[in-house]
Formats: sequence, C-alpha cells, structure tokens
Amino acid sequence: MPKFTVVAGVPEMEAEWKRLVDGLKAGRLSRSERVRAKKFAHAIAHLEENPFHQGLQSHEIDALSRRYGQKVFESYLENNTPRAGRIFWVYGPRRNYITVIGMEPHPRDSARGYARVALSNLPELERGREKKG
Amino acid sequence: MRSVVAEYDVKKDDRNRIALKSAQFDYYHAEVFDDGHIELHPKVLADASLSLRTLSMMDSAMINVAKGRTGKRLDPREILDIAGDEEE
Repeated sequence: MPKFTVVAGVPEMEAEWKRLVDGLKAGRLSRSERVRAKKFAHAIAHLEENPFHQGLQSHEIDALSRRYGQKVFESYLENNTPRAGRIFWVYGPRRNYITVIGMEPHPRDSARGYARVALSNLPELERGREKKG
Repeated sequence: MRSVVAEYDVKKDDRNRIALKSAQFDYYHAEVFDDGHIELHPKVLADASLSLRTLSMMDSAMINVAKGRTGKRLDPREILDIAGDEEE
C-alpha cells in the first residue's frame, strides 16, 4: 500500500495522464513522448512512497506557494536535469493525498517557442476563471 | 516519508557558522524555532520561469483543489506496465 495517494489536478493534468495512457495503449505516442511518460510514471511511483526521494530533488517554489496560499513543490522527472521535465504538486486535498497540479514542459508548448513568465513577476491569480474537472 | 541518509554532530565556529557535510542544494531556507532547533529547506533559484500554459494549468487545478476537487488516482503501473521495458 503506497504511503500517499497521488491524484491528478483537474482538468488539464488528468487529461494529460489519460492522453499518455491511451496513447501508449494505442501506440500513438512518439518515442520522446513514451520516454517522458515513463519518467513521469517513475516520478509518481516515487511520490507515492517518498515525496522527497533523492532522485526527485523535490523543493518548494516560494513564488507559487505565495500565489496559492499553500506549499507548492517541484520535482524533477530526471535526476539533476530540470530541462528533462518537472512536475508541480501540493499536499491534499485529503490527508495522505498529493495532487499533481502541473508539469513542464507543458504538453502543448512547442520546442520552437512559447510564452513564459518569470516566477518573480507572476500575473495575478484570476479566481473567477474556474474550470470544472 | 523522508528518510535519514546522513546523521552527524556539528559545532558552530567562531563566526556562528555550521558546516553542512552532505548538502545536495546550493541554497536553503532556514527556519529557527524557539526550542533551539533549526530546519533547512532546499531552494532552487535556477530556471525561475514557467510556461504561461503551465501557470494556467496550475491556477485551474489549485482553484479546484481548494474546493476539494481532484481527478483520479495516477497509477504508475498504467504506464510502466506498457512502457516499462522500453529503453530510454
């Protein structure tokens, strides 16, 4: 029995996980997507047992913790290689739960360029812009 | 949960400094408690930017988390059982 139940943030994180699982089953994923899916799954397995597993290099992101009013952590999909992929997670909403709320690179960002924002200059959170899961 | 990978005693030097023998990170946030104990939390300053899409993804997820709404359990076996034998 895992120590933590890791769940998907909604709606996008859940949709991305489903896309990866369905894509794997149907053989639709590119090789790089398959590799990334596998790293993602390994990271989830570590989170279930020990969110501060050495390979995850988990650490709090202050700017995001301030934004959301609770501690937000970042973990690497590949040890010491943030560019290989990162996931963002929080404890909750229930005891012994972890919710994965985001990932980088974002699945719809292309290698050719996409808009980025500095953590030191985040736009205001639009609480009215709710999306249901 | 977290497991202890190193344990040792330290003594502060003449300039009130304590040497960390097995620190993985370059930066830490220190919390000093009134009972004398000190906690160090790893900090990473590099790559301090995000995709706007990732930020939007997290905004939506956190608004839902605050209301107790999350998606299904992420079961790593769903992926590893299929992709587990592939070379990376």
